[in-house]
Amino acid sequence: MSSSTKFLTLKTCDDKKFVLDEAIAVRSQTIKNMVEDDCVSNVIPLPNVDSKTMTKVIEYWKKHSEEGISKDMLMDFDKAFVKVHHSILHALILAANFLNDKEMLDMMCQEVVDRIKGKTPEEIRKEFDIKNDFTPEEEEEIRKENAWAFE
Amino acid sequence: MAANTLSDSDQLFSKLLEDIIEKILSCVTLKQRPTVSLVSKKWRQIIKSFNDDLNLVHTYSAKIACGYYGSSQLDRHASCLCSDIDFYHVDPFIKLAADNLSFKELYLFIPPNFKYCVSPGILDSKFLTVLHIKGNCNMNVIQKFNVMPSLKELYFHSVCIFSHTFSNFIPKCPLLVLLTLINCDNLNELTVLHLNYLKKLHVNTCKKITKIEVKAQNLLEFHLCCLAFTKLDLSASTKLQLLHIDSTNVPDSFPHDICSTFPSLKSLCLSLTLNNIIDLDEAFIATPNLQLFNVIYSFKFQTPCPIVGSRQMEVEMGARATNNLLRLRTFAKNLGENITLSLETKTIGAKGVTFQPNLEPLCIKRINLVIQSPFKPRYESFLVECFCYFHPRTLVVTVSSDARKHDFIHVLMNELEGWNKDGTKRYKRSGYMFWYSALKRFTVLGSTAFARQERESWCDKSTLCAGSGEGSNQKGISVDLPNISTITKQEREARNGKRPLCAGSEEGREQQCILFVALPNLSTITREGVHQIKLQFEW
Repeated sequence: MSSSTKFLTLKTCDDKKFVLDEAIAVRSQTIKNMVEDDCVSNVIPLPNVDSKTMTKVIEYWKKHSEEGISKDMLMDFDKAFVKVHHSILHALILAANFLNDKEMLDMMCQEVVDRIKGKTPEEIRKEFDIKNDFTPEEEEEIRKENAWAFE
Repeated sequence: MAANTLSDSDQLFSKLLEDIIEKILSCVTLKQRPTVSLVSKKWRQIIKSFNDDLNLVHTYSAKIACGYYGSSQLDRHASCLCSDIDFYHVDPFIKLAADNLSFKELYLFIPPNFKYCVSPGILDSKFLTVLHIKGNCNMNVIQKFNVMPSLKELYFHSVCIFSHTFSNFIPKCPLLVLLTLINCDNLNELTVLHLNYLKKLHVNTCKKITKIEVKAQNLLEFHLCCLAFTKLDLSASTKLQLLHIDSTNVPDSFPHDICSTFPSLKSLCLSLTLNNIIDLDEAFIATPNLQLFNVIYSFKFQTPCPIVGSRQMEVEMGARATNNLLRLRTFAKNLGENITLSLETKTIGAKGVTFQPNLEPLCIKRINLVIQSPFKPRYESFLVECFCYFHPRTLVVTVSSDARKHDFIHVLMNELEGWNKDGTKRYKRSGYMFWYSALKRFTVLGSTAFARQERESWCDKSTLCAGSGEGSNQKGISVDLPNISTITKQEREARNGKRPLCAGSEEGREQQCILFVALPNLSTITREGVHQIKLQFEW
């Protein structure tokens, strides 16, 4: 290991280990804080992230740390990156939140907003696996109150 | 961190989740908020916790023109400007501009019977992200538009804007993502150039459009609904995924180049009352990414569909008349197995059935048949013809209440009963009636308009019945009739001295039963409302 590149080992909740360049890993504010506080032993445990999600996160980090990558290429990458099933999107949001990577979290949240756009409540529930806990009467009430928006 | 007990981290987890939901919902536009708050109580609670003042919007009615501007994240002071019907000349735009407020979203509804001239000051806003104008609003008085650097969503409904005004205005919205134009009747030439962020374009008008030119390289969805259009140029939008066109004719140069122009097209919907379908004849279009293909109404099908997608492609075909099945069959030839066919009987009777013995029936996913006509269509010959060309895995027949006198169920029952013991058909067209053997499940969904009292009065009687079906390799038909029944059939069979109908619910018997009728709520035949019959097949 050269002195210029330091590597960190991240351990996900399912006990998979990822060895990563520290310069890349500190995109996560959480990891960065730990590094700065010098409380990093050999392995950094990530109790809220599984290996499948971590693989995606690292893919994102690596792409965004590439030197000389054009803005257009990054845009295309991001676009493709967020086109995943909502369960994966959900896991990624939680991971980005836990790792405290604001840039990534914002992007994922924007994707959720985009998915909500133009959908009916029923479609949104279906997309994100949410249970409808309104009675038809309550639903009618809300619709009446906000008639202007449902035109 | 890892030392947290499980319950602690669980709590932390759900807390964080709520923060994220809040973050997400705060990005949703004001107009969407009521829709979003219908998703669940939790979401509604979060939306309600946002401190914007939506009260004035609630007072919106047909009589009030309402200009609303929402707060930005920086400026939490939401405010609203309403002009009552008596003061409609109050220009909320001028007012807002004069107050020099940084509003983020603006929804303007102009009451019918009122005319409104837009004032240029308003379009100066640097922060406006959403602009909705609905009503008779004249945009043409503005000679020169300023750049709207934040505008992402533009919605014009019945707005008076001329083509040249539009072409001056649109380039000033460089970040536009969503553009919707509804009933903007003066807009007969649509030029949208160099909007690299534009993702969705929706045009809906009942007038003719002479020219549509869109140069937006990141366009994903394009909807067009208009009477007719002569020229459509979408060639720059190579990433297009969804193309829906509802019009009476196909313009020149379309759709010969669909596959090369839009390689990532996933959904294609053509609701065309095509006159010049000949255009399609010579085309051969391969679109491997196409997942949904939709053709609706009055296609003059002559040749196999030129569009060749993957075998998994979902195809929906619609036709108003049921007498062109052969053409539909020809058209569907290359469209894979996931075809859903929607048919409506509007014609009085099917014309004489002409069989094409060389034509293999096409295995498809589903046929939705709507029986509209109060006249008696020749269901029998229709069934024969239908199964001659198509082998659907599901057939759903919806019988409208007007058609009640000639209940499709009864025709179907009669068809099923028409089998002799040795499995031959009594009817003369028996050679073509193979569909019975593939029938796996048969469900009748009754009308919802059924009188409750009536149903209850019949509930006690255990009138489960099943017909016997010797010689038939049918797996069993179950008729779930919560609301309607086949009483007449039972009576007839009893009269004819056949074996008494018996409950056929035992598992072991299912193989032998031709008819397995479960009637927990047997009633007299209710002829009100819409009936739906669902047949499932294994071919």
